[in-house]
Amino acid sequence: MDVTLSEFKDGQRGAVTRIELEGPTKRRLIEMGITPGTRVQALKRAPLGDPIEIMLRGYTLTLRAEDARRIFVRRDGA
Amino acid sequence: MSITIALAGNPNSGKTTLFNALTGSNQYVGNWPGVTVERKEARFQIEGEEATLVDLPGVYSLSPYSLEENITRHFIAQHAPDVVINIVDATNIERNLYLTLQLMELERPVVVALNLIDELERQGVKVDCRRLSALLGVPVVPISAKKKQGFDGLFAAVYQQAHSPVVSYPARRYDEATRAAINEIVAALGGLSSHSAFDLDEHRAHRDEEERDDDHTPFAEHRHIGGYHDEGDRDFAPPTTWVALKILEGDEEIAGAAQLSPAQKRRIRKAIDAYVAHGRTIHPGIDQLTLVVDARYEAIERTLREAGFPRREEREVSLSDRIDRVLTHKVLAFPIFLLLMALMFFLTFGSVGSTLSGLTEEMMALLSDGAGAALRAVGSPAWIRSLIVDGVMAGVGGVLVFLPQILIIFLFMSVLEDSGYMSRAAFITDRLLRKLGLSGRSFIPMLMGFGCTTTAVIAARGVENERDRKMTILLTPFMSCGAKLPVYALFTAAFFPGNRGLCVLSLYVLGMMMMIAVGLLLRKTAFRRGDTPFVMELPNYRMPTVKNVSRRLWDRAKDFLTRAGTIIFAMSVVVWFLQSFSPDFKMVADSAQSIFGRIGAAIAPIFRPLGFGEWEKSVALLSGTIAKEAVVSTMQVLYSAETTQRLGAVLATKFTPLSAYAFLVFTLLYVPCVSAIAAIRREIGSWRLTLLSIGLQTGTAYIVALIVYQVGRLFAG
Repeated sequence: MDVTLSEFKDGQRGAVTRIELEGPTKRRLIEMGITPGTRVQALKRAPLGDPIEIMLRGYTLTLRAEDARRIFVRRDGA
Repeated sequence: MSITIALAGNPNSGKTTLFNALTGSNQYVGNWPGVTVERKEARFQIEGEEATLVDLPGVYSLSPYSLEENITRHFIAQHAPDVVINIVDATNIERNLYLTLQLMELERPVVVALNLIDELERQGVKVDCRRLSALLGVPVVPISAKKKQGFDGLFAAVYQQAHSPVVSYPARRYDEATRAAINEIVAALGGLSSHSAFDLDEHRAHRDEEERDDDHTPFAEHRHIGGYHDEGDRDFAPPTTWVALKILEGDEEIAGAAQLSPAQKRRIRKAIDAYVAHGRTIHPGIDQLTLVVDARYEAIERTLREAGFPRREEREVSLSDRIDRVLTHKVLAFPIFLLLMALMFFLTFGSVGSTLSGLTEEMMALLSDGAGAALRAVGSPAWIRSLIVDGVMAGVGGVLVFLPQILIIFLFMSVLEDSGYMSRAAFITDRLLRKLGLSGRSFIPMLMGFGCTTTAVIAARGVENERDRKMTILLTPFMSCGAKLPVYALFTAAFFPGNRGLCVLSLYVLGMMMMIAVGLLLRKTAFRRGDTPFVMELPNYRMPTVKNVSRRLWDRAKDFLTRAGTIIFAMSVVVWFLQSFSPDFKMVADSAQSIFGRIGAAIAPIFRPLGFGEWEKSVALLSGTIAKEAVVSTMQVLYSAETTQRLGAVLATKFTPLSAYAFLVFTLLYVPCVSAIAAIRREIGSWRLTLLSIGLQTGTAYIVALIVYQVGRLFAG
């Protein structure tokens, strides 16, 4: 079962399955490399729980939880 | 002929470092036409030939949504630089090459400068630049911008590309389905040689046929993309393959500009449908844009694999990660942040800063005394003496006093920025500013507003996004600045001796509440969100270099001094005139008789509903627009009170506690001082928004003070 990227605990890994965002936000995030099949790892959260930092394509990216909630991921081993 | 070179690259790729290293100090800093995005240009020699290097904004891609990306896309497509140097961070090559492919798609000669190659090699990765170059089809040169290494190779490659350009067609390396779709759309557009299908600019379409047959067929769409265009565009027909790719991505503007016939549209629609249907067999629900983006990334992955780059799925725990475990720690992050801010405040507005400001003030006093004496010695007329001493020197000097504080704050900000902490500050505070439609980037400038609005407005430069920056500048003046404290001190001592702290605190809180209210209002109206989404990188911590920091300080000082010599100079002369002359242009000693005094008397009735309708009070408020402390000094003059204690006693007879509080509320919120207005004008880039700022402040001040006074009266009976 797919979960959203915002549900990933720090350190968890998986692969992107689909992105349910629209418009410029979607474009920005896929252009930063969050395309279907891309492997991602959750790294850390800001002290207030948001934004979150993830690792993908050999670099780290910070995005907001509201956007991460629309990105679906298959957890490794799930 | 001189060569024009554009420098493009991702944010944090070392672009600014490379620009400075390549050009030394002969930089020209300006703005892109019509916007406040900084534009840096420099001339230098390349293999003995004159070259102009244009620093483009740091961008991740060339989508038409953000202003920075539009500027970059526009410059490369329309100005058609001879060579594009694309700086690529070797330690983050996969994502950096995404922009590289987009630059190459525009079919300008590109040179890839592979930066931080030394860092990658330290991690044990050997890079085969020749192989990578062969695969990409453009020169790839290893460099270290920081250590100034590899520049000979870079210059040679740039020179080569300028004189015998090699253009690569990255789409040739995209997957089969994408290539098939592009080919089909290109065919529908009439093949590779035809540009006529895009000659859609109505304005230019009426040119005579001769010109149109020319090879440089004009193309309209760039004039419209994001509304960004400027003078000096070359007529340029975009590559057909690029147009086809944009149509395949679903770019409505480009498709619209191509003015397709119904038959062409049908053919293209069919090609896209087939493309999407094929893509969905692999990734259900995927759309055309994602497919094209994925095709680029897939080509990058393949290229890197073939060039022998190891794929890193996870990073070993670096020093940066260990520092972050403390600095972004759940519990420790905010105390550390607040501690740093307190230190910055203390140094800037506390002992060190005020000592330096005091010294500047004394120096200015000496200078102005000297000038006064000298003018008297040569027997110059009184009005000239007054103009120079009371007008120019007092006005410009009053602003110069801010210079030490501005430099200290920028010393701090540069160190925070260069070390990488600024991104962490944005990371931890982002949540707090979200509701206003702003991001964490705005937090520090707003905090600075408690010190000095002028400084804070300039500090807003750290906010990359143009819309967020403008909104930050508009909201910062609501934070009660340090210069208002003398006014608060005077009034609270006279009217609320038992509750001074509480009273001042209530003003600070009121200011923040109004900031939030106005922020929400702006967000709902003029500054609706929806342009750029928030993504950010937390770059590795680095040791700031003395050279970079001092360069920034110098730039800031130069900019500030230029401003002091121009706009503030002019404003000082105007204010001096209003204060020293009566309406019939006679010089007056009593400022009540001056134009200023008359205006004060004329507008006084406006303040009657607020509880302070006497002319002295309006004149005091008027002079507060020069500097907030002047509210106190003007009252001292007008009420002939030599000391502030004496003034306090006089005020007790002129105000009731309620009208005093209403007066404080108005002082808190109304138009900032001229120095701040000048900074706002400079940083926000338009008089319209500057006037909006003034209107917002004064309007809010009036309404809130009115409510305070009238509601207060009901209770006071």
